[in-house]
Amino acid sequence: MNLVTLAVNEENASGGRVVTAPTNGAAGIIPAVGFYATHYSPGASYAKKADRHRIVTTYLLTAAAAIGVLYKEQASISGAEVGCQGEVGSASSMAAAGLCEVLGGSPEQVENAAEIAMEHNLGLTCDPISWLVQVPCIERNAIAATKAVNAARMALMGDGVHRVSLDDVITTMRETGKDMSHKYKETALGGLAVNVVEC
Amino acid sequence: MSVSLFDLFSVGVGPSSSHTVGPMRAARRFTAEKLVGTADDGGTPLIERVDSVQVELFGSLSATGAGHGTFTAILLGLEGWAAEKVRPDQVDERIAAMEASGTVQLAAQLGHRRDITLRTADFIQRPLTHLERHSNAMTLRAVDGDDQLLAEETYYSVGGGFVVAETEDPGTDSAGDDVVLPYPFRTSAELMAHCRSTGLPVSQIMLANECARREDSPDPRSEVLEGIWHLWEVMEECKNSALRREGPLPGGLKVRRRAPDWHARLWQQDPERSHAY
Repeated sequence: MNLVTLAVNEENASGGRVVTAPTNGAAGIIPAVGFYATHYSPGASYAKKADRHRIVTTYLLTAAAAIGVLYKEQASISGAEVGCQGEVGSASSMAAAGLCEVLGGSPEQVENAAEIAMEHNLGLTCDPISWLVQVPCIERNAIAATKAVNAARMALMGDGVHRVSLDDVITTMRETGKDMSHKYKETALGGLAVNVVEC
Repeated sequence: MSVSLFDLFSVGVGPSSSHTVGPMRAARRFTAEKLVGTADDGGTPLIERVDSVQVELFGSLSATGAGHGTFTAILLGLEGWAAEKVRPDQVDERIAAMEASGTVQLAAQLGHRRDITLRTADFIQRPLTHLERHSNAMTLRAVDGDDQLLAEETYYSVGGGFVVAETEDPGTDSAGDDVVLPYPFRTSAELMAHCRSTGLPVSQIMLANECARREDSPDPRSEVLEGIWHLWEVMEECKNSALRREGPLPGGLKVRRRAPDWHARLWQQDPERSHAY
């Protein structure tokens, strides 16, 4: 899974063709968790092409799209607007929801998975070094992909009942983003972008 | 709910959807709608009178645009290249040609080629100016030989490749607003209510909505499923393409590529594995 995220994000950094999922900077997470879903979910290792088709469409639809719509409608997926939490956070949450449904989660568990993944990406800033979508973006995608898998797994162990709703977390993400200094919104004026010496 | 799966997941070029794909789409829209699609009083399309184009960038687009390929993406958009169709080799070829000649083939990909002189160094940069509506803003102006303004528009790249023009309502940035969806939702509470009342999983709710957007199609369901599969194939090809690349990542930071090396090492550790892993 790390390998898939690194590969997709390196391709993106090289100006290659990628799918915005939901943005380019966070483009590695959904393919990586999708890779997990198609290779490591029960029965997937001997799945035929039709089964893989079904896993992929369920994963991307559910998930990803339905939950992505919520972020786009209620908050933002732009690093310049709300920081990295809107890009990597949203992608992680979308992937968690998609994987949760593929692994047999109920709609309530799917919502829980999306909520857990977003909750633990709240506050993430966007501070790319030298304005390049490379450091910390590439590695961060790999870490966020594992967060998504863990969130899906945690949700599946529960019964779907949870205290913080997905809507609450989305609202929190939007407001946290609004309060965030512009230094941390894709301007390369703060954070790693100023503390790491270029060489 | 107006956002479709195919708005969220769209094929584009790297490295940034808001700083590369969005500006490219905005520049293409400006050329298509304001220059090719608009005529003067005499019925002549404005494109035929254009002498020069001015590009003004604000906020984050200006501050981090260089590293995100924003400037060259705008030139490509002015030539009419579509972010979801252009191939990486076409991008490289045109950027090299434009850098060498300083000439942009305005609207060439829209069937109305008009050569103008424009280099990225000519762009007006306002990195510290944040327009109220969104930090990622750009204004495009087309001027004729007598310095008369032919067309002007400000665009906002609001993330994920979505673009909104100054004159538009923010809610109209995606197609299909007039479509009546079987399960409209804006919040998670509404989505969960649809799941409960129908007994359907989230994916099927979304599929029904996507099919409703294509009600004119003879087979909306197959069309949607094929579209999704195509997106997955692009994701897979993207990964495979990365494994074939060599050398440090572009941009001067000398960041090492890790995917090709890691792939080779994992393959060596476990040769029994299918190569697709």
